[in-house]
Amino acid sequence: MIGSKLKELMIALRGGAPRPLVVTLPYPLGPGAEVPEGFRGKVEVDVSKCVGCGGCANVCPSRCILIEDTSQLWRKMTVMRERCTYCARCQEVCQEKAITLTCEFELATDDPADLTDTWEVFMATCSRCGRCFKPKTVLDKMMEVGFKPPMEKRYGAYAMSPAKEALEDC
Amino acid sequence: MCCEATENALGIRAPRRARLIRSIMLEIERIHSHLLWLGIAGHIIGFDTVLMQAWRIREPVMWLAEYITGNRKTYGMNIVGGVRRDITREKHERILEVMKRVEEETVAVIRAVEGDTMLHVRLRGVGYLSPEDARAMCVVGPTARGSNIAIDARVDHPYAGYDELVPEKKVHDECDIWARTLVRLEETIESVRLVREGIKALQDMPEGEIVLNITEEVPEGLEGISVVEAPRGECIHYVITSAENRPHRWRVRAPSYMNIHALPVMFKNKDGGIPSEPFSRANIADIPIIIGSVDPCFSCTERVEVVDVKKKEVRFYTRNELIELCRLKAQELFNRRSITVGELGGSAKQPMERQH
Amino acid sequence: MERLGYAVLNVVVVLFFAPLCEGFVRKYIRANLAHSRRGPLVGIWQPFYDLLKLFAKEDIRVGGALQTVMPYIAFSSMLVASLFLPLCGYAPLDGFGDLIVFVYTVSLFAISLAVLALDTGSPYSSIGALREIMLMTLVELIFITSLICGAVCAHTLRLSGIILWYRMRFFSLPMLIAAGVVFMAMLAQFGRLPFDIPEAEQEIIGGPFMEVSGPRLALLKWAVYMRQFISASLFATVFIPWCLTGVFVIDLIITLVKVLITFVLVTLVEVLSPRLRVDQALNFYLGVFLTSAIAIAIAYVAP
Repeated sequence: MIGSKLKELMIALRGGAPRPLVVTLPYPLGPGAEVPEGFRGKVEVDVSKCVGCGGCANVCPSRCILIEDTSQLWRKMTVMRERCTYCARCQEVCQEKAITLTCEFELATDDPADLTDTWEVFMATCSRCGRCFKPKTVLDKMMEVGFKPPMEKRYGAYAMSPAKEALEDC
Repeated sequence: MCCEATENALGIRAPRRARLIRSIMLEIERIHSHLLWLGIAGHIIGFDTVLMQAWRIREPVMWLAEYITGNRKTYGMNIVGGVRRDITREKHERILEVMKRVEEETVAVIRAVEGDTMLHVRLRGVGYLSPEDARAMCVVGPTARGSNIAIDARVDHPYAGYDELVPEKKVHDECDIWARTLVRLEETIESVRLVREGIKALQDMPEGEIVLNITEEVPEGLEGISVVEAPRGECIHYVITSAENRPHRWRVRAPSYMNIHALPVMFKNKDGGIPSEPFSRANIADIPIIIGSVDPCFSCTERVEVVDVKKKEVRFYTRNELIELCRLKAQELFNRRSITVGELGGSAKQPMERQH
Repeated sequence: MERLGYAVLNVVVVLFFAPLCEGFVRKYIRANLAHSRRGPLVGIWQPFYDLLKLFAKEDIRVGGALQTVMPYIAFSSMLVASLFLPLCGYAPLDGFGDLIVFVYTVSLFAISLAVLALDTGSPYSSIGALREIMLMTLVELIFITSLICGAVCAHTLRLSGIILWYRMRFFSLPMLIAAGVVFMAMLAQFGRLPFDIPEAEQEIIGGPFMEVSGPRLALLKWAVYMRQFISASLFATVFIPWCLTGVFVIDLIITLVKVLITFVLVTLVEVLSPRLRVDQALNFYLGVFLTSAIAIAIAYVAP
């Protein structure tokens, strides 16, 4: 029995050698462990790449990504990260790589609005079949009936010329 | 796994590389789960050193899982038809290094712990479950293998990559907590060996596809069942498919459901003695470690029992009541965003019907 | 006048150094050495911070009225016991019924804890109280028999007399056996594993300490730390009385170092042991009691 106790003491003393005796990190008062690439962290949406196909909303298991078609032309999408399970299925399905999972994990907050994002996508309709698509260039966008720049830019604090504004939100 | 059950329903089989990756991830999960259990069991009997050291040994396994899958515990690797991420060649070296480290340290822990008479005094002869009782209660996993019942779903009903990587059943016949401890520790070493064999098999085969391309919609009304050896025992998934690629019914029988039922029998027997004798029953000091020795996962038990202290009555929630509660909660969450349930994304008609 | 100075010094030393020793072993032995983790941020001052925090918390009471008084009785009995402590070979209350009264005041702590637990009426606390009484009956008996062994060897009941006799005589077999016996008894008196039984957190959720909160819990914890310090310093001064110069301050420092070493030894045993069951612990202590009886027998023959 004394032998076992000594062996246990040796395990504790070695403590993860060749590392030092203490293996815990001083996080959050110091740097934490490095997060590897491919870590499934916070969901980020690159709005300029999104075409509004709704694949992510279809595949999300906790129904965090919601689609609201305010009209035929405007699709409003919301991501409510408070129920996100970080499964990365939205990332897998997105063809444009607009929705990705970053390496951020420090997401605790007391206000769910911090974790909610909304974006609007302008969907033009094909003149022949009537289905929605996203126009490629600015000029095509401006030629569609009913095109208006998104809400955030419309009532922005800084004044811009309309042409430059249209360029901004492509 | 639900994916295996659906694959069985469809009658398809995932590609070989995907099956091997599934087995490797299962064995990595087994290693981390058994080391976690060792720590918890040590903590319950007051031996905090074992807790801290076992979890220190387990930490590289968690980092390894994060490196391979993106998360420490919820791997999210499986999908119907295969796996989502590949274990490419540059990851193999890191896996083998971590396995070597874990094996060395676990063997050191086993050598240190097996001769410790203080642990023998606490764990031997306690929580006795005779083989007849074990068969009658239908216990599974290390609880059964500690009572001389040689069942292991990896060997009896091979699934995933286990037709190639055949594990050895570790069975002990002392029928007490000590036997279960030894079973779990030996299984950890066995899992390390299986991971090494799996990596070798992956290295020998060329890089191939990891998921089947399923192009047709899943037909309605197919049934599939799959049996998996989770770290706690045998876990059964049963699936009935329905239209639009959704399941109609998905039933999980967790292993803790069977093991927890055996606890009252273990409380009554001590030292294999006669249950009616007054000093052969378990003391209060023994009860937490007996409960800990079956490695209970209380969230896998299935009843929600509501005890009304004022009216002094007890009742169970039924399936429909639980579904209704889920729907009410979802409605409340969406009300905060002023979005109605009917405008949800996707083509779901009844979003909550998926839950059992 | 001198005695008053010694008395104040004893009390202050015990009050201050008891949480400090506990903080030292908590950080350096338990956390850094055994658990391979960093330990508390403030290091050895953590018990002081804990006590300070508890003094600010709310006092919630259930059950009877006697439990209000019990933590104060425990604390004050420890203060009185510290007056009997021969920190440099000479205790302030030296001639006032030395050995017997000392052991009585030290046991008063266990009794007050048991009364406190039984008075709350909570089932887990009652179990803790029963375990405490079962264990303490045997352990205090062992404590006093080993001190009586020293008394028989030195032909005096005064602790300072025993120390003086032992310091002159460098080797004494019954005293060595008694030292081993007192070390075993200390493990239970410290309330440390493997005899952590009355305060078993995983089994009976804290036992007697469960129903106490706020300032009363702070006093109770402080009394626990002081009891540990008093047991350890008794062991260090009576059973290892050598290496003392004549200078008072240096003697004090050497005694404190000895007490710290005793704490370290006890903690080393603690981190390498699981908790024993009550019946197993009682069996063990029965063996220890027989050993101390043998030591007394030897003391009559060959001191």
